[in-house]
Amino acid sequence: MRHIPIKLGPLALLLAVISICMTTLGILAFTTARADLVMAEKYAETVRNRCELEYQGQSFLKTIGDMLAGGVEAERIPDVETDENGAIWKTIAQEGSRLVIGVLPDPEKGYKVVSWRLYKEWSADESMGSLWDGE
Amino acid sequence: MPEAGREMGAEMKKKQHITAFYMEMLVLIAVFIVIILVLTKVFALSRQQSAKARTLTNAVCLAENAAEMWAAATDEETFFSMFGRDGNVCTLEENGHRIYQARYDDDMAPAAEGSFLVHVEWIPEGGESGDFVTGRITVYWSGNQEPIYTLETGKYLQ
Repeated sequence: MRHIPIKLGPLALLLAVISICMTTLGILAFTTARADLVMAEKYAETVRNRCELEYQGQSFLKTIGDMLAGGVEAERIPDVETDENGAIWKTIAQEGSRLVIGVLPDPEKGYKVVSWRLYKEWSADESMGSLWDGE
Repeated sequence: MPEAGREMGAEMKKKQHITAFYMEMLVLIAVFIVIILVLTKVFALSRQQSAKARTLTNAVCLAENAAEMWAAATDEETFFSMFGRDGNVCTLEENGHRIYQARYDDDMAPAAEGSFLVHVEWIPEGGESGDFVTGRITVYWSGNQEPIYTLETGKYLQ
């Protein structure tokens, strides 16, 4: 019988290349999926935080409305600042965000909202995660 | 005699060579199978995490939309008219307040048989100068009892 020589070297090399490619693909897919999930969780937290601030802001409007309707003077309202125009300012801060509300007492409507601003404190993420930082 | 011995030696060498070849092949296939198994697990995990991220993002979007409609509405009727589309909303009464439930499909389009269920509670509280309404928005997915996302917001109706 004639012996046909089969070389295992090229086959091993091919399988090694396939394995390396698949492993790289797997690592990329996993890190991307993980980053997507982390981003989705951050987005969810941001929206929840914003709604919470809205809730507190609206509660403040109710308190102000009730106080002004009850004849309380703007200067006597606790935890607020009053400017030279008579506007009442309140800052509500929570988890890196703050809501600044400005309310002007109005003899007819009770009050008028003159400012409603939401600020988000931002700082660049300088951490490299688990990556090698070159040192 | 030396001729026969040389032939036997060559035969032995050939057999050893074939055995080594098969052993090497088996090791190679085993290593390859292990790598494939590990990668299958990694890909399955990635797929699972991607699906989770997509579901959470959709749930947050739906809850945010409901919160925006809720903030824009001046009363319950206005909210109901904005919230419901294509017959995807039903109303329930619980503990003296109304609950609005809307269904959406995986692409966040209104669908009566959709897999996302957005549950909005309209909880009014009295006040001297106006009414304060608390809105509790909960999003469920695919019939799960555990909500995937909840929001609480408030509105002062002067």
